[in-house]
Amino acid sequence: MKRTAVGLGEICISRDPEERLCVFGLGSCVALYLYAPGRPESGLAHVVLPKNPGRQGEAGRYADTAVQALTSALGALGVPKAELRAAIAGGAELLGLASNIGQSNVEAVRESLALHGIPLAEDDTGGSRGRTVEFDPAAQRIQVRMLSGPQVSI
Amino acid sequence: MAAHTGDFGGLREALGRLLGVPVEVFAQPPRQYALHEIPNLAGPAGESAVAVHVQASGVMQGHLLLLLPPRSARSIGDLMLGPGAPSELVLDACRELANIIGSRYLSWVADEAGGRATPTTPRSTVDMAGAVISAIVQAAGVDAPVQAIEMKMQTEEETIHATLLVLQDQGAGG
Repeated sequence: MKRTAVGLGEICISRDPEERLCVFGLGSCVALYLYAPGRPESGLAHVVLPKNPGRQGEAGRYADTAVQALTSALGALGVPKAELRAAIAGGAELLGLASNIGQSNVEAVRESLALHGIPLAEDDTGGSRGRTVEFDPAAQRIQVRMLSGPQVSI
Repeated sequence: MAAHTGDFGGLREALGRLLGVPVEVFAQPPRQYALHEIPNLAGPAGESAVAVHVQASGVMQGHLLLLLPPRSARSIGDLMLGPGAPSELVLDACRELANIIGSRYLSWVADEAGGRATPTTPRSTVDMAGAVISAIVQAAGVDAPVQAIEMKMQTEEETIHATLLVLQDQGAGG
C-alpha cells in the first residue's frame, strides 16, 4: 500500500487501487475526496480558503474551484460526473482564532458540491482539533485520526 | 527585515532569569517556505506539538507561533516547575516561554523599525503541528510570507528545541 500526502492547496488524482491519498495534520482546511463507487479512480483536494479571487492554476486551493477541478480531472479519466460521491473532513477552529475559516471552508465546499449535484457520502468536519485523514480506496471510505489520550498530554 | 542572531532583544538573559539557570540560545537564520511545505516545517505535520500563539500589533501586525516538540515542552516544565508537573502547568510554563521569546522578538523588530510592537496574551494548545500551522497561515492570509526560525536553548541539563514562526498579516506591509 502506498500513501500519497497532498499539501496545502494541492490536488491529487489516483487510478491506483493500492494508493491512499491523505492529508496529515489537517486544521481549518478541508480535505475533499471525490470518487465513484466501484471504480478505482479518486481525487483529493486540500482546500485552504472558501472563494477563489480569480486566480488561474490554483484551483485546488479554493472550495469553489476545487470541486470543478476534481470533476474535470476525473471526467478526463472516464468517470461520469453522475456517479461521483464526496467525502469531506477538516474545517476545525484551532487556538480560538476568531476567523471562522474552518466553518466557512466547510460551508463553501458543501455549497459547491450541491451546485454540481454531487452527493456528500461522508462528512467529518468542525470541532477544535486537528485531523489526519486518508481515503481507503478498497472500502471507499475516509479514515480520520485525531490526537487523544497520552498524545495530547505532555 | 535584517537577519538576527539567537540573542535577539536580550533573549539569552531573559530566558536565564525565567529558567533560573544559565542558558545559551542558538537560532538559525530565518527561512521562508512555500505554501505546500508549510505544514511540515516544524517536523511531520501529523505529529503532536505544543503550540503557543501570540498576535502582534504596532509596527509588526501579524502572528508569532512557537512550536515545541512534547519532549522539549516537558524539559521547560522540568526546569521551571520541577520534574513531574501536571500537563496544564507545563503548558503554562510554555506560554511564559513564548511570552518572553515573542516579546523579545517584537522588541527587536520595533527597535529596527523605530516604533512599538505589542503582543497579545499567549494562547496554547497541544495538537498536530501541521493543523496549527496551517490555521495560523490562514488567519494571516495564505500569501503572507512565512518565516521560520529554528531555535535551540541549551542549559547544563536540558536541550530545548523550538521553531518560531513569524507571519506578517497580508497587506500589513513589511
